[in-house]
Amino acid sequence: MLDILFGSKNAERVLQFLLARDNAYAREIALFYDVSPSVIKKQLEKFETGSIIVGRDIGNMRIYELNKRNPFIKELSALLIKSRSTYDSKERAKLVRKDRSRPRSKNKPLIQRRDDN
Amino acid sequence: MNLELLKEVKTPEETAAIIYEMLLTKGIDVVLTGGSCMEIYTHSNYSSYDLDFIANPSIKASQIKEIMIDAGFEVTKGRYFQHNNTQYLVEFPTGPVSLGNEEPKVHKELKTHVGTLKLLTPTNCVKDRLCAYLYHNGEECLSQAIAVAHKNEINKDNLLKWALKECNEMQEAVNELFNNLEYLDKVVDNELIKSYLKSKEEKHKVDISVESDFVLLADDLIDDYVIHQLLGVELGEDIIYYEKMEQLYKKL
Repeated sequence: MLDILFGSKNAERVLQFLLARDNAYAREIALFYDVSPSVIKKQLEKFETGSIIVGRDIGNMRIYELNKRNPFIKELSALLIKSRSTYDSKERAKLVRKDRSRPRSKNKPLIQRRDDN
Repeated sequence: MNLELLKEVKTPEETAAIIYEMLLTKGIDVVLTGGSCMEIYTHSNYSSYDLDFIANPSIKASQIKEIMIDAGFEVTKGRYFQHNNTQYLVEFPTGPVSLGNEEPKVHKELKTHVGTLKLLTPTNCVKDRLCAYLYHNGEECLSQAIAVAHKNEINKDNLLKWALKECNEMQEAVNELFNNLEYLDKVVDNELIKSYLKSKEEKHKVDISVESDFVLLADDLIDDYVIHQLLGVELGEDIIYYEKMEQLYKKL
């Protein structure tokens, strides 16, 4: 819904993902939406230049989050939340359900099953 | 123990029991720990297909490896084992069984139709989930601890004494768990649900009278056991959950 306002579907996706997950790196967002990391990176760089998001380097990764010091962040978040509430329930749940972040053995795959899916 | 049976069973308790019995016949005594105990105690419709067994520290990892390979398991680059007859990944974390500073000696024996299984008691399973919640920032683990405590009989005094020996934050986590459990003992009506949601306002930095905040809280509680119980929705039934939350907002 906000893609027209933000200029592209991936622009809205980037902001929605950062709002839902607090922070993320380009490849993580690209994998979630099954799009090329380069298009996500382009959006991230655009929003970073505009101070809507901020990034920091951890190792060789750049982690982004919404810029809480941006004067419009409260209003922007409210707009994104409203838009998110109109999403299909499954899509909305997938977006807001955080990935497991607890420690896990190196190289051990994470298979997750939900009976209703 | 015939591991062909692994093909026939689906639940974590049956799968774990087959492996437990197989190891026992070879003289290896193990205890099932971790998230799979929670899955067993809550009859969860969610599974991560992990079975973490802890063996007595006197048993060498090489002994276990040999027995598992003999039984048809393949050892992977990581430290876990896979078998063609099951999706479950079996791992043997280094022992002893520990729940924070405590090393429990008493475990639960669960009988299944394919054999017996030794696993954490429900009270110890709650401690294990609370450790994951507090020490590994596993927010969803508090909800899992509440589910185990609600669906099973737990020793609250023992849990409190354990938390006292852990740290102040663990005492707070146990109190949070008890406060959450209280909602599940009451007659459910909209006022009770409203009071539960209000109790979350501070932690989630929301004001539920504001629509966008209510929407945000609904998203934050997508895996919250208590709100799902109060609404009469199974965890994971996201479409019904959102519908009920939307109706609730209009009524509140």
